[in-house]
Amino acid sequence: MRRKNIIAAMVIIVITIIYGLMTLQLPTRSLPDTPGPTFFPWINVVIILFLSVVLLLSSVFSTKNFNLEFKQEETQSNHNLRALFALIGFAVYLVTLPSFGFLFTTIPFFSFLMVMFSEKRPLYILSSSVGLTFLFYFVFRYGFNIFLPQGALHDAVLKVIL
Amino acid sequence: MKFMNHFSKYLLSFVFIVGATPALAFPDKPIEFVIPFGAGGGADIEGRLLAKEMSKVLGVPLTPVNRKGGGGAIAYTHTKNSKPDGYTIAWNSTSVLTTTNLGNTDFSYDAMDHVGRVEFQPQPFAVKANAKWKKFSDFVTDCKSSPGTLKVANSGTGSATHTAAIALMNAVGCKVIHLPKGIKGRNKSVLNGEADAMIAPLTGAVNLTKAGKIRLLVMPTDNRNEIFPNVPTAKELGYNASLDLFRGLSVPPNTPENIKTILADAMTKAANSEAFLALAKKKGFKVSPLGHKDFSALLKRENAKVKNIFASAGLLKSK
Amino acid sequence: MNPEILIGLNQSIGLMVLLSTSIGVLIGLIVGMIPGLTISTGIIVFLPITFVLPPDVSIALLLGLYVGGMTGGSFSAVLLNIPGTPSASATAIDGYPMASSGNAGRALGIAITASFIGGIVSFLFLFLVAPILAEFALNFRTEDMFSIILFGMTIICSFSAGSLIKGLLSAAIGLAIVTIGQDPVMGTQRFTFGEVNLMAGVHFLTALIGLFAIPQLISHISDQTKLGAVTQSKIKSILPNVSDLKIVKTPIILGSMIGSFLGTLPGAGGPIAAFISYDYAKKISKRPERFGSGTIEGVAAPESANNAVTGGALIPMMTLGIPGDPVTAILIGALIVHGLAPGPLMFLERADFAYGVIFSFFWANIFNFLIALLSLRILVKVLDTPRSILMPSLAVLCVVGSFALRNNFFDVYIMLFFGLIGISMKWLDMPVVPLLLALVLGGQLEENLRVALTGSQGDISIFFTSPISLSFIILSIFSVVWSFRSNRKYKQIIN
Repeated sequence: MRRKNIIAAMVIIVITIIYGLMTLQLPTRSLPDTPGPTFFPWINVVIILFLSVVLLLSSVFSTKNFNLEFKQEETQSNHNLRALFALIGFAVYLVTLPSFGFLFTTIPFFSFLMVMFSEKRPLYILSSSVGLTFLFYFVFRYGFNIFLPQGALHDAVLKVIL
Repeated sequence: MKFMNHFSKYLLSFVFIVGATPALAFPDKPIEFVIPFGAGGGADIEGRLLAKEMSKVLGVPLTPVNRKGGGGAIAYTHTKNSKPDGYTIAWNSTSVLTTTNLGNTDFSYDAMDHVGRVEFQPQPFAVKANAKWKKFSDFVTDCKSSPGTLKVANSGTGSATHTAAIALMNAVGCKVIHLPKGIKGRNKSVLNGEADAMIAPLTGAVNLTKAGKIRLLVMPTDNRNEIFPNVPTAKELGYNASLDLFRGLSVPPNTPENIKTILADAMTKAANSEAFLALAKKKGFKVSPLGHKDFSALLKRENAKVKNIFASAGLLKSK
Repeated sequence: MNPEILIGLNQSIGLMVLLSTSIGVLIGLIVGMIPGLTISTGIIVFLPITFVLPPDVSIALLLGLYVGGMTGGSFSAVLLNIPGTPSASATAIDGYPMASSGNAGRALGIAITASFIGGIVSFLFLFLVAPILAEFALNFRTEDMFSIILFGMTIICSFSAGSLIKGLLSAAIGLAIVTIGQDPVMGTQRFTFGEVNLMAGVHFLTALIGLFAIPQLISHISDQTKLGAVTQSKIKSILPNVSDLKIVKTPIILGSMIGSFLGTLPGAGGPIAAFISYDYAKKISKRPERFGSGTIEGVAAPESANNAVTGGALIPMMTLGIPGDPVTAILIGALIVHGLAPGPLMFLERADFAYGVIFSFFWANIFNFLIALLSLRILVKVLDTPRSILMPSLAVLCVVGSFALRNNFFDVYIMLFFGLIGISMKWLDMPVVPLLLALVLGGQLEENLRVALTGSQGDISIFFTSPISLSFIILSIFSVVWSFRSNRKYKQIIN
């Protein structure tokens, strides 16, 4: 925990300094006798810096032994790799969705996540991901009026089918 | 609900969408109806009903989308940057003049095309029902004897209500503290005595006035209102201050004329629909559609007014 | 009687409203039952989709979800010894031993009945107290609102798990995130990096979907331990018999009152109320030594308390606009999206709607009781639904939800970004709830601070001269100091 706290505090301090620098560049627009738009960000800068310095100092001078925790994390790494993989898959899904459309990206993404959850039956994966994706699509579009991005490919493919 | 009611229609529209052919005539797909304020407020309720009525006329759904923030700046920026194909229309208001002159946007109101006006409403000056000020002149007397102490609440810095409040106080020659309490906080602050008075759009004050909780002293507008004919206008009291809250439609710049004409026709029909007129009667705004030309003239006139008022308060392009 | 009460009652029994209440209850029971899916996550994920519905229908669904979730949590606590929601932790202590000894049906019947009574008692509490408190709260001025919000945030920090410093830090980061976009008083653009999509700020729900749902999704991927098979524990008769009801009568009534009261305090929430109620039931019991080995009182007491918390938590939410727990914080956000900012004015301007919400809460409890009793046997099968179907569906819901909020795909990226923040915070043991509260209330905090100072022409003493504001500032300081001291004590015990 001690090591994590130190990392956290340092990252937060760096981000807060950037935040403060950006606050400096904000227009100081204000009516007389009233706090302007930079007032509240400055309060935030002060509070966050104070708290993260306290966290940093209390962790640096903490007496707790952290070797033990470190070892426990090692055994987790295999699973963490899987989680990282899932996150990358998520990102790829979101990047491709607007251009390829909801239907054509969600089906592979759904199957991918099912595999991530140790599902091994291919037919089951295929049928569930296709079925559920279409279910989502129609429920949202016609039940809730949510127009999910369709992408250029969507229209073209549907035209070929019909 | 919709799912059940329109199931058969959806089946049909699915067939239609799948077999969609290239655009033949405007409109052939849903239109985004941009509302510059949050859901549930006056702009939202009135806008959504108009959109619904316009859908009936145009035969395609108008999907209301609330893009609130910056006193309308977000919605107008979005509209200005949209494709000029008629599929994005903004439900504008006096805010199109205030937020641009305040400097929340880097363009002025004429960076967009305006289809027309739908309605307008006065912005009364109100005090609590048990306040000592029975007439507006009582308030003026108190205000002049102790300048800079009385507080007048409005819906936000640089909002239409704030602008009207500045205009009224300038005309009277009073110095007051303008409290930007927001749409929700404004009424409450008058009721609990935090603010001494407020300027509110009539639709925001009509319920409390009818319930006997607040009293309207004056309306900075041209003619007396039909719902509260006893409230004098500022002009009658000898003050040259008038700023109404209007609402209408705007589209991205360079939208083709024929599309604007189709929209303007639909707008007028929707404005005169039974449902919309009923809402107007209930809420207190006046339906009075204006075409493109008359609306542009009005905008020009009002814009000059807003500019002057802001300049007097140091708000003009204060960003 | 106030005519608005009748209008509200009428609003709550509209066909659509009742239908969505019961759908909400059903979703809540399922979401609550699934370990690792909290009620907050359920509401956050379903909220954006409900925005197309009229406000009364949408809120009814969310209330149903809230009430159902509290009860659903006890199912997995009893059957698997894994509480579906943190609030059901205390229920597992006696519920699981009962199920192991073949009394699963009896335990669940008692849990459902206790939940029902707890909910109804807290409904009465809500119905009677809320209008009075709202009338009083009308007197609160800008400076008072600032101090009340400040208090709400500090007390959440002091109750949240982990260190106080990290809790406060989490809240402060939330406040900084809120400053992205247009400032609430003048509309100045701040920290938008010139990005049009950031001009309206980060929608709190976009952030919450990322912060809550994504880390849960990821932790399910990295930890795939199998749940015990549920169907093994046969559920026999569910309806509790009269002799059982006689035994649990007192613990249930006591628990209902404890829950209703603790619910009104911002920050306390379900888990704490459930444990306190469990403790009291043990103290007044004639056979306290049997607690922990499967007593019905041990199931009834926490279950009545955690469901009673729901009604209690709605009181500060509806009257002050200050949430009593994370779920009500999200409900406030939901109401604001509908343009119905909860607060004292709601009872004045939209009393019909306010009473409608209160009655919807009543119906939610009725439906919860009926649906839970009638479909318990089918519902628990959800626990057998493979996570390989459930979790990908959750992921798709996250995407659709964050998109649907503003019809803007940029928000989906923001959601994933907050997902990464959520995962990091989990890794760092930083509580997310203070950040949640800051996201919901931060804008109001800044607005009230600045407007109050505008009214006083820059004079800070305004926060200390108003008695209401002063007392809440003292309470805020007290809550931080108290938490700091109890933290130190806790550390001493460990060492």
